[in-house]
Amino acid sequence: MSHLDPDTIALIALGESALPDDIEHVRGCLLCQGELDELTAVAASARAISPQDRPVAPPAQIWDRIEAEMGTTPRAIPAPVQPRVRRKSRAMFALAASVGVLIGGLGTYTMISADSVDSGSTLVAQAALEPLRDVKEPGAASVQQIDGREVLNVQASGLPATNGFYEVWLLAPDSSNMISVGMLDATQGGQFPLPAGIDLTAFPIVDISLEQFDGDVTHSADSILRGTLAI
Amino acid sequence: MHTSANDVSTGRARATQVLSVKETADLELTERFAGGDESAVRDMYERWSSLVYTIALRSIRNPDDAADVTQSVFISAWKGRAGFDPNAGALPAWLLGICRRKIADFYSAKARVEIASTQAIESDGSEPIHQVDTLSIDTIVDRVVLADELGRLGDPQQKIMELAFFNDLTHIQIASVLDLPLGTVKSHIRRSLDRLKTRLEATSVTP
Repeated sequence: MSHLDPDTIALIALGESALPDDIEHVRGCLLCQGELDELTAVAASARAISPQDRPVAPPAQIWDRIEAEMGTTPRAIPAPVQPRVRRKSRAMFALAASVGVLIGGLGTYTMISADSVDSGSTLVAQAALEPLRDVKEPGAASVQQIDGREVLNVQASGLPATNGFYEVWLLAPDSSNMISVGMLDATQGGQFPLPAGIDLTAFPIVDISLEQFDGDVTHSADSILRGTLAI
Repeated sequence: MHTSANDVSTGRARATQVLSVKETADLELTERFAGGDESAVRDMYERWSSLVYTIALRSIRNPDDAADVTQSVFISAWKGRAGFDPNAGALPAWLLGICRRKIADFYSAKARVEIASTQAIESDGSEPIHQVDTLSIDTIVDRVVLADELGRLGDPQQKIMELAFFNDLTHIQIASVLDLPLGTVKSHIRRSLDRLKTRLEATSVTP
């Protein structure tokens, strides 16, 4: 036998009388019975609504209080990258390359032997990464030149588990431009080869953001750790 | 009501568009919030603060305390946004989950104060004071959510459902009262019930 018409099930759920054949079908049909039970429960809940259940807006000053409290959250003070800025890495790389700005040409190397035990590895810059929120332990970042390539090392052990992921960025001093360097393993830190020709004086800020799997390639504006490279 | 085929198709097209715009807006709001956009909290507040406040007010029955709970719900949502998983459920369900916890927190804090002030009360087996003669939070949430959605059905759906729910009219009586075709009333009833069901499911959380 064919299933009951959905309109009919809805009427029975509201308590209207049903044809004997329909009742018989529902009794023997899990699908129709299930549908009827669900709609009957909805109707029963709806019938119990009293005037007090109708939503009323909270007092107007509540939003002001929320806004004031949000304004004091640690995240708002460092004002990480916002609003969302489209990534301009391609343009910036092209610019840097065309001008011929190479870190090597600036003569800004600092030799620190303790941090460059590997022969052929030179410390170029380093930064302490300060927590912006939710993170207890600071991290650290350094840029080393290894066999002519610059590599960014990031150490961050105190990052909380997340349903999203952590992304490493290099930001311009005013956060107006940025380059995504890669995804960070929250448990291990990571090493990120930097694009040849990158001008670290134009992108001196190392920023770790929490990103969601939302398909949006721009910075989430949710920065977790941040520090400026001392070059 | 619909006098020409043209009217009907235009009406349908508009309804579909409104729905998809609403869905897109929901998705966009969810993404903005999950992405850490502060302005998303303002939009969430505009959409759901009445629900949160009314649920708190129905449960706690004190406007000042309900306002405090409302404030703490949105603050907690913002601070805890990293814990929101868009794949695990809808944003309002998550928000109402926080609301339930805040109400529970309110009661346990109150119970501690009451116990402290009366010095010694046997805690084993005794019914929590606030549970006496009070609707369960689940019941309150369901009713407020349904009342909210009922108000969003628009007419003639809202009128039809109110007559069915609160005046116990049959669909034949409703059609007569509102001077609408029987088939129209039947399909409005079914679609509205489905919509109420969907809304309940979207806001129900396992505490």
